[in-house]
Amino acid sequence: MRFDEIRWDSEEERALFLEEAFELLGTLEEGALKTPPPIEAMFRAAHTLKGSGGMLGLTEWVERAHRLEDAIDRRGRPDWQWTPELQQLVLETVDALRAELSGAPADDRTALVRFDLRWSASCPMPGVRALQAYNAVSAAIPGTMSDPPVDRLGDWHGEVSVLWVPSVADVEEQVQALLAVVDDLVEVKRVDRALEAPHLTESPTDESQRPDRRDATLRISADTLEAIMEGIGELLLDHGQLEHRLGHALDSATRSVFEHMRRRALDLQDLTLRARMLPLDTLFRQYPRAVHDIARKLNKKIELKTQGGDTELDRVVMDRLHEPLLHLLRNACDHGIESPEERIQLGKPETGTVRLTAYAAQGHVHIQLEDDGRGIDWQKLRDKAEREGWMSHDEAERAREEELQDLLFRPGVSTRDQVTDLSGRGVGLDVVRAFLDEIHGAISVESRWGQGTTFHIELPMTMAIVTALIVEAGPWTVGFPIATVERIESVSVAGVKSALGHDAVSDRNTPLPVFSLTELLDPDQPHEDHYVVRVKDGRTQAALTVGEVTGQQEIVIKPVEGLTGLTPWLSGVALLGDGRLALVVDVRRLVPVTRSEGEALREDDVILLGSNQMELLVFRLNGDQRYGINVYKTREVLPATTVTRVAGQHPWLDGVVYVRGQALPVINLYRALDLDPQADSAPLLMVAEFNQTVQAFGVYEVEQMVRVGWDAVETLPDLMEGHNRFVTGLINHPTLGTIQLLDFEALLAAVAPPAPEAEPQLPPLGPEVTVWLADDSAVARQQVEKALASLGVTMRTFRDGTELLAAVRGEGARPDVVVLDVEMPKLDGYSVARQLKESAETAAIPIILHTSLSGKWQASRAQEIDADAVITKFDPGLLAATVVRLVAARPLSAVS
Amino acid sequence: MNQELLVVRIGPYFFGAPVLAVAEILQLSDVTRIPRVPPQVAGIAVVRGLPLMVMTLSPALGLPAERMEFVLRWAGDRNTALVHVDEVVGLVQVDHPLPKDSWATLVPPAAANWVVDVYRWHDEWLWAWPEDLPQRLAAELTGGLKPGGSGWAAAPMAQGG
Repeated sequence: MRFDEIRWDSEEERALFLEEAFELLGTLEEGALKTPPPIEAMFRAAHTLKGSGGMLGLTEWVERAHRLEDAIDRRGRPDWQWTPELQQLVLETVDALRAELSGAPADDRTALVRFDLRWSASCPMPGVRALQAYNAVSAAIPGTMSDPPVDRLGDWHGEVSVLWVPSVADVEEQVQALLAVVDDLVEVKRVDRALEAPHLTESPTDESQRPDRRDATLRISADTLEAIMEGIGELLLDHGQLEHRLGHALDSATRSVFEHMRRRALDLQDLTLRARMLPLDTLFRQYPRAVHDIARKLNKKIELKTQGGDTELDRVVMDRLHEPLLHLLRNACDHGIESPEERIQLGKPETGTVRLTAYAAQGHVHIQLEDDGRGIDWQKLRDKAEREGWMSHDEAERAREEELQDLLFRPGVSTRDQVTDLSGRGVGLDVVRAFLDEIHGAISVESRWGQGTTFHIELPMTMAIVTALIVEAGPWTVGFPIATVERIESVSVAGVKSALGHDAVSDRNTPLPVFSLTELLDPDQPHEDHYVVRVKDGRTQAALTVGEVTGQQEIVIKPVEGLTGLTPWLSGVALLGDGRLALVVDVRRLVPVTRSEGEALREDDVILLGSNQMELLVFRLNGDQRYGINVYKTREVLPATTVTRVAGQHPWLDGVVYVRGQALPVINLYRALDLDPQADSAPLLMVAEFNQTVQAFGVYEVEQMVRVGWDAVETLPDLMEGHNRFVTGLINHPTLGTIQLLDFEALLAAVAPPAPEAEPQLPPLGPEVTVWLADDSAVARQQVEKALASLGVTMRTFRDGTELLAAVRGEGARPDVVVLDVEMPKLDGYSVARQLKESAETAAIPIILHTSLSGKWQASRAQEIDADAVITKFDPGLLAATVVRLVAARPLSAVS
Repeated sequence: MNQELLVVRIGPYFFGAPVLAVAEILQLSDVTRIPRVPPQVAGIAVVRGLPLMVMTLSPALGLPAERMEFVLRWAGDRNTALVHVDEVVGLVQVDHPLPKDSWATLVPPAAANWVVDVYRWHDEWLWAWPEDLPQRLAAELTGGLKPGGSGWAAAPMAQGG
């Protein structure tokens, strides 16, 4: 019986079989292309395929799977080897089984020929001889099966054994020749008759080896997940509406039930969303085979290397990514990688490399596809641009590669004139871009002629749920994915000026254009704007003025059927809790092209890690004294609202304020810093996020943002250390005067001391292990020392990074672990880490970056740095465990 | 040819929707207007948690945009667009459509795509819609078939650089 002849009891049964079979076939195929192949896993896969096929009565299927299982069974075969023939057998079997699943007609090309082997009656161990015979034949003709099965030949005593040999050309001559060297063999006889399936009963030992599939995972269809997702979304919506309707009528007990309900629903949503995330390996694993096949067809040698396959991506996105990615791979193999001869001539390695890399950063998944082939001939593209009239001669000659690359994505453009059957005419990069446009992804390309091409794809991590900033613009409620929002300021703070007629704000001294969101949507719409939202998405960067900022919300983006083609700037709509509909905009498609050109500005956009700089938000509390907070710690600045006092609160707390449904503690800086309490009602609330908590501080005025180097930060004079617990440094700014850097972490710790956590029992490391710590905060130094005390290590502390570096360099001492604060006067933690890692002598020292910066910015930046571990919250147990882990993992040479 | 039509009013005109093609009549409280779209797109309405596009025929008929009162939801795909009407009058059995050459020249080009028959009904004319009205309207949107008279254009995008 073949697969398409089975009568299934239910569709589920069929789907389950298919799914399992495809997964196992994937394991086999992927394994066959690895070096070395994971034979055990492949064997188990073949075995399971055979078993489940047998239960259904799939005769050919079982026969194929059985042959494969035998061929890659190395139990009891010490001389078994993985050969190119075996690889081909695995791949062919996989193809044949897949073909059967897809309903292809029976193919008798691989029919088996039966050979009966008669052994001498005087042979003491015919089983061993039969095994010898099997080995000899199967090594030359993979797919050969033995009856009795190989694993039972050891104690087999009989006169006639059977070999089933694939009917290759001259099979009889080959088998006879191969068996000529085997002793005790009386006769080899080819038996021609209708193929009967060899008996395939399982030996009991096989049963125990069956991999246990009944572990705690369930397969669940994407549709079901989708339905759960929608359901939770609706639930949240209902909650929002109820809360809105009942509003202030709620007493606190009911409110807390409401809040609990909301939180549970959000957790569930999160969980479901995560269940939708799949590692990119699910996709990547298909490609080695594709590249293998393409390379064979093109007579090229190409190796595909993949990296970052554990990066997770929403399966909805992933499903749609397959085609474009495959197309790019084909392109790379076909147009990019040269023929082996050409490569040798060029002095390149004969085998071309295609590298597929994935990583996540800034709310997006990035995929890079890089080949070391011939690259893009930009000159040819210039000629084409001129010929087609896209650019004038001058323009084409002057155009930079970034400007030219846009042309690559036009229909009908190929960088190579030849058209092959692989990357045929008609399907070009324009299709790839269109695909990506649909899922709000982006693609760019870099290429050096003669050296290779890199495509860079950027994808939203998930399409369904985003945290969005909700604003009002004229009559509309608009949502921006929070990942694109850089900063929110009130118009009065932002300092909008006219730059030769166009509104602009200063962005690190360069003008950033200001647009009214309402006007972008509809130029005729009257509006009054109070806030400036700076947005950045890819290369698009602008400041948008909006009426009001409503808040930050988790929203479910829903597409509107029929509108998608009309409104490329609209990612979809979202239903808010109060019943309103928010338009979720795609910043890149709404904001007119602004800063995409200035390459220099782009470099400058983000403070480079290790550049030893920070951006400081400068504010005043009273008088003229200015204070600073690292911008990465701030979330937003709001007008002060009602603060609810909580009984028994810490004297430095004003109480609790509700910001977007989240209750935040308000810390009174006047009381904490012992300042004149003139303004108990500070007009502004500065919301800050660090130590993985969010809190608000009342401030008098937020002035501006300045970029300062850490080297400009002076530590307090020694005399004052110990008294001023909450000031970590001073900056003498040329125009603003002295700015005091407040130790917000210490302030927070004073108000809410970290709960003593049950420390896990860690094995003490002993005093011979030295841990060096650089932190400008005395409180932090003390806390870290305390956290590591139980390890019994020798601690040495430094007040800033330069002191630590000086000790490393001057004394030649090598600590076993270095713990660095990120924000430190003179030299920040990134820079210290970089300098340590750049020197061969100190590169091996494990570094832990210990930072309170826990906002979304930090999460994405932390991945880019050189540290061995990053801890974004003061957690004594985690810190100690990390030290233990790093000490255990250090290379042997580093152990003194 | 005997057919049952749902009679609806838009401005001063009466139209007939094939009754089997209409899934339901909804009274809307809120339609969110969408900027930078052709005027036939009245906005988005939320029906049982699902955002749906609302289409309006008013601009094609040279009528001013009115407050949305009722919409018809077409049968079939649950994502299909809604069509705005001012009033739902009732059901009527019709036969004997007027000969096409007697009215074809009167229909404005913008409406020619979706008026398929005309009947005399009381002392009014009843302009009958095709069964696939939403699809035809959607095709006009994407196919660039512009409704007569209004000459919409996307809001100009300021171009920098």
